[in-house]
Amino acid sequence: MQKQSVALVGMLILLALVTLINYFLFSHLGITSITLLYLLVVVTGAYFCELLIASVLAVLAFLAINYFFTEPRFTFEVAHVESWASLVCFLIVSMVIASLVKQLKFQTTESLLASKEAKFARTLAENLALASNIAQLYQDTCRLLQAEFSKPIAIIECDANKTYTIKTASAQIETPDHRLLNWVSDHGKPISPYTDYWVKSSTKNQQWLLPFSRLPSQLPILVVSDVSENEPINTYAAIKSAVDQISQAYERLTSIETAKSAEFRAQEEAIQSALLASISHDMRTPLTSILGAATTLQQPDLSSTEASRLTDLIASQARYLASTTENILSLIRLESTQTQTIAMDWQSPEELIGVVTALYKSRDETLNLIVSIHEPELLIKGNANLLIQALVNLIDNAKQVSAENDSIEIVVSQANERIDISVNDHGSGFDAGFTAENIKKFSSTNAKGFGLGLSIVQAIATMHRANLTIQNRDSGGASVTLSFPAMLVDINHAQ
Amino acid sequence: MLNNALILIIEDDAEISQFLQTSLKASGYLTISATTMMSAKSLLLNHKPALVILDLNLPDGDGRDFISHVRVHSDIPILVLSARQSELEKVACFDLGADDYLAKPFGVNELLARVKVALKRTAMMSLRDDIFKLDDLMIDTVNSSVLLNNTPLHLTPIEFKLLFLLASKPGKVFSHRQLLAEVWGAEYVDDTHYLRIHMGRLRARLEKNTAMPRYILTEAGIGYRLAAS
Repeated sequence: MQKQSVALVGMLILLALVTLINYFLFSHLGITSITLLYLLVVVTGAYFCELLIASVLAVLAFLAINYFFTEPRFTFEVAHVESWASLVCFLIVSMVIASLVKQLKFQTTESLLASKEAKFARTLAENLALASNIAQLYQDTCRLLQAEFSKPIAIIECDANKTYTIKTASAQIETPDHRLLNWVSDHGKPISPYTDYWVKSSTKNQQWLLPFSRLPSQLPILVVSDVSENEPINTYAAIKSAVDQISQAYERLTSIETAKSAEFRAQEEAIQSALLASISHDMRTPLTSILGAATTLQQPDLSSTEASRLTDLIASQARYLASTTENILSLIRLESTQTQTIAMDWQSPEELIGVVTALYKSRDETLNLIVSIHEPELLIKGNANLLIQALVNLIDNAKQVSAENDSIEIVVSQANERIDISVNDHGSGFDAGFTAENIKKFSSTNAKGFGLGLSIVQAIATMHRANLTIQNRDSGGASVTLSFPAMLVDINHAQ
Repeated sequence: MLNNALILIIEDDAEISQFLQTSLKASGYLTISATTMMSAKSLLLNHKPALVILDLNLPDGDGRDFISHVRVHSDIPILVLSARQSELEKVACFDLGADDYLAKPFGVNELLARVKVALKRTAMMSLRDDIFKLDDLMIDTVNSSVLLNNTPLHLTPIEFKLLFLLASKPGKVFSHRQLLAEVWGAEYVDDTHYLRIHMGRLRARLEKNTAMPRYILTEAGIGYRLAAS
């Protein structure tokens, strides 16, 4: 209202100015130009002010032309009929133009608003389609809605005990009253001045609550904070329609996550059966040797050479048993541990290989290892001990199938945004049909824990989002490759 | 001097404690043993051993509390025996000031080698030997020089800092956090990629074969140490 009063005063000043100019330049301008100048004032008024003000301006302009410029001047009398006709025409034309300008302005504003809404809907749709997990969906939603509507936005999740937690918020917000949140969850309906349930208040920091579901559910609730009683309905409608879009994306992501967790469970079961198949063979064999050797040692008439051979056997079988136990423990740990609880850090493949070679050296095991690292400063994100275990398992497998002087090659290379670590041997290669997908089946038929080791490598690969590929090389022997996603490492501040 | 050093074994498992005592005595060391933290504290005070072998799981408390207790007033080498439970646990031991760790099960030769290194380091420190020499590598911490095959090695300031820090206690494991805090500053303790890259570069200058390092050894998931022998 105050804004319109200021506009009216401004337009009156403009009218007065135009009247002054016309008055002093009357002899030069002529009545036509003067009339057009007044028409301009009315059009300007129609564009910037309400139609009523434009109409008042039109009447005032009509009176001004009549008083100052129509014969006889300085009276409201009109001498000629033509002059009357001109004045009335001016009034009608100015009123019509004012009305048209007003309509044009309204349509322009509407189309600008529609284009802005369409742009927002497109950006939102793009972001929702790109969100790969629910956390990202929440963050993108809050960020985009806050940017578009300049209101603090938050998403609240509800658990089975009806405990509400703010998962993401674009700014600090006050947690809504639990009774209101319960009402929204129980009815699947929003709370806003445009819906059934709204407590009128004069404060400016009220909240709209919009559930992701239109049915009673425990789905998340979007909170729009700092809203007043008379927010435009357009804003509410736009946010409501955004929430509909977001809830569809939410449904899509939850179904993907459910499928993923089912896949994870199936994988856990597969690992467990591989473990059971291998455990019996892998633990009984060395135990039998140890028990046999120890009981033989108890015999009194044993030669010292024989005794020494038996103690060596006990030591080597105990070491084998220790490594098998470690592998089995790892599997149990891997399957009982969620990926996110494993400490992941930057690792250098070159360094991991260094640890592996040192390990074989400490065991006094000969290892004819040829290491080829194409780019030494590559880093992968992972858990050092698990990655070392994967490498040791692959090298152990390669050793089993290699002749004494055969070399085992480790190749680290980078291609297509992936970092590959391959262990290659010169053995007889894998049986036809053996792939990374059927390790479990293979593990139950193979001797010496070959499958157990690979099952662990596969589980470790999965935890690192790495791909495991198994293939026979054209030049003979097998090649097992762990392919890790390459990630950008910022070392600019490390200098 | 090293061979008749007194070693305190803190281990509640009687068989393991027995095996440790037998093998250490067979190598010429003297041993005393404790099964609880309480008795270990008293033995430490009364006998002033040269080295402590510590099992983390003790009936009357966590072995890590013992490390903190000892480090308040003593630099005595502490060798931790770990059952490979958790990396975080091991890292915590090194951050608290443990010198070395051995994962169970371990062979006696490995144990004796670690004991020897730890005792040798204490002996060297007491002699205030500022020059570290191993094979072709010589590090002079006083004159800030590094020689490889008698040729001065040009290192960047960060590489110098890293190497000198490791050389300050050869054989001792420095955790990633300790190295990052000392070389880059406390706010960089989580930026392990800096460490990986610079260790890689330092190794490239020092080692003949970086995939089989001789001087700078990696303790997976924990940190680094300079080989002592």
